[in-house]
Amino acid sequence: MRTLSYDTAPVAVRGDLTAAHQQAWERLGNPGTWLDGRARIAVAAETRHAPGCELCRRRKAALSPYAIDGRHDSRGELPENWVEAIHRVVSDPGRLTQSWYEAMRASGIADGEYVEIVSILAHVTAIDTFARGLGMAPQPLPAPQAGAPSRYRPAQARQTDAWVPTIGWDEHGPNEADYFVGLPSNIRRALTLAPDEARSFFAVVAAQYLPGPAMRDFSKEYRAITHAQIELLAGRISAINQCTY
Amino acid sequence: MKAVTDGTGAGDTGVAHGDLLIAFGEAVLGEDDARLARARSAVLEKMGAAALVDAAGVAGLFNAIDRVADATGTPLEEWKAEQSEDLRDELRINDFAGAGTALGANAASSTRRKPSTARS
Repeated sequence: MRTLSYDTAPVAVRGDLTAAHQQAWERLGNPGTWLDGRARIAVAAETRHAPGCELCRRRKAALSPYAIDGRHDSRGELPENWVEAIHRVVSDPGRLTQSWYEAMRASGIADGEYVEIVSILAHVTAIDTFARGLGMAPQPLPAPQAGAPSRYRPAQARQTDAWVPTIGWDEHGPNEADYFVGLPSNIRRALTLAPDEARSFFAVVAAQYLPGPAMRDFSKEYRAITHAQIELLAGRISAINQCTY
Repeated sequence: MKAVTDGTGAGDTGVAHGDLLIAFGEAVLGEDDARLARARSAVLEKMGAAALVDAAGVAGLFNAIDRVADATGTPLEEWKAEQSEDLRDELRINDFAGAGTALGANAASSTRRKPSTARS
């Protein structure tokens, strides 16, 4: 039984978009690469809880978030270092630093776990923000499914110019050949330490934004809003988030 | 393009219904539900239901992918950084908190030192 539905949406939602969200939501409750289903749902729930955190609000308002100490308002299901990672990425992503990331690693979060946490957070943010845009309540989270995570780490992943290890565009192995198609893109590499997370998130990208080839095909329009309208809106969102990428 | 960094009130966006989309994007990321309801209604009335779905999709996606980029320390591709240097300078994007990560600390700081014709 699917937990995500747009049957009650105030406007009709494209079928491909609904299908992409349903697939992402179903994955959310299943065991992942490093996290089991229960941990994944706990990360998703904490992502939703973070905007109400008083410590995050004070840090967001401060000249430097690193000047404000305190304890996060959390749901109490996850370790404090995981909560710190989730809350900071949700509440103040533009001011994250490599030193902060390294502190998260030193606190005991493995790089693969961190990438999976970021991916879960990103899936939930994309789908929840979409729902808010339409005037809908957030979708109920799926029930966690039993099973063990795959613990698959691609042999080709290595530390290059991002904080996290990634697979170079021309360095992938046969297991990831399906993913590395089209023009090289650093953002498509970002989650490749957990390739299934990268595949899933960029399926959502294709449905909510545009598939890769359509991004650069200005000879026709693929959505009800034009390329120019899409990029204007995308640029404004990124500016509010203080994101340079 | 000033609407990207300056938002509503920056004047003509040069894009059809750009003012509605800017207002919608700001409202989606904001906390004022009444403002969001007005912005949503304006997009729906002037642009249609399919446009509202696609605008909500884009707003949601970029609210997420910004976090992927910032949390993983993903740098902007060199060719993109070179091609966008003047535009980033004009729009003061190099002043964003995350510019040092996306552009590399040296690139961001050297660009910040460059005199800006837009601000002079």
